[in-house]
Amino acid sequence: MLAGAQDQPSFAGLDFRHFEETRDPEVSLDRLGQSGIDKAVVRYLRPRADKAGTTFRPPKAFNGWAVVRARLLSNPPHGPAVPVIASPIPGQGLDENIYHAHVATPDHFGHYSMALHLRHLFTSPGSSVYRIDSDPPTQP
Amino acid sequence: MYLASAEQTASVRIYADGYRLSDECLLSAMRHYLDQWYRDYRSQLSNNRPETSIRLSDPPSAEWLAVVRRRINDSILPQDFAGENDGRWLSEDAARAAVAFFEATSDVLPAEPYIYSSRRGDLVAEFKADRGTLTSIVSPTFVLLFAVIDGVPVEKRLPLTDNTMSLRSEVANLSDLLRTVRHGALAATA
Repeated sequence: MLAGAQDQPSFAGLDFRHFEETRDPEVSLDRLGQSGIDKAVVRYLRPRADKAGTTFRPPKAFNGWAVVRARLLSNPPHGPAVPVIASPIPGQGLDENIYHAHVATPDHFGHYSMALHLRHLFTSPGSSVYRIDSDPPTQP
Repeated sequence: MYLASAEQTASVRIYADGYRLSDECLLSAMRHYLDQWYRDYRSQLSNNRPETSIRLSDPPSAEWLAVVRRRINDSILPQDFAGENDGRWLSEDAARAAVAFFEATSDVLPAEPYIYSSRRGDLVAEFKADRGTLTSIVSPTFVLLFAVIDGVPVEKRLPLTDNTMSLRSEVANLSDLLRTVRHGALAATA
């Protein structure tokens, strides 16, 4: 929260910054399962997500995933398609992520437009938020 | 001077030497001056001026404006700040642009915004309304408005210029769409 805005009421929606990618036109995703959330995949990804949080300054706690079906990204009702492209990350131990994927920012999109588009899709009907302390997934 | 005979005295006129103006010319001249007067008179009416040429020196303010302005000003990145901006700070340019944006549009925005910083230090303002949401991102040079109205996204990118009327107009249009109740959605009562 902003340093001077500690007194403002809380925000019920998803924070826009979760979808902001400033370094790369490719936005990273995790594939959580073939047709739904696979618990084994979650167990595999969780320590990797926790580790990724430690790379921020200050470190960030990992709270969970915003979840949407891949076909909504490749065939959205509004706006450009952002098909999911599997892009496993090779490596050792927690540096490896075999469920990594990404979506590419369309050519005519700026990074703000891409983030807003993704957030809209990840809060559309059928989407959910999978919190690591909650089961089953909750609606955003 | 021209002197007419007795039988012509009914139409005696006095003319300047060598100059004669016909009735048609007189009528034409009168019509010309009347038209010009009417045009000048008409152009002075404010409701015939283009909207963009009308400037409000001090637009009306929403009740929440002072609080939001204080929150923004208290969140400007300190000049001696050495660390990495962890999302608690706004760049000074973005903060000034955001204050100017809210001062120009607060009365036409849907409600008090929830504000935070983008990863680039620009201001993000989230609004909630009856029919959807509005997100505005204010950078030093432009404002991005992203409304979701009944599930349909609408995006507008507007340059930040001195012309606040067009900015107000765009914001007001989106706010109206977010507030307006669809007539078809009204249920009939017995």
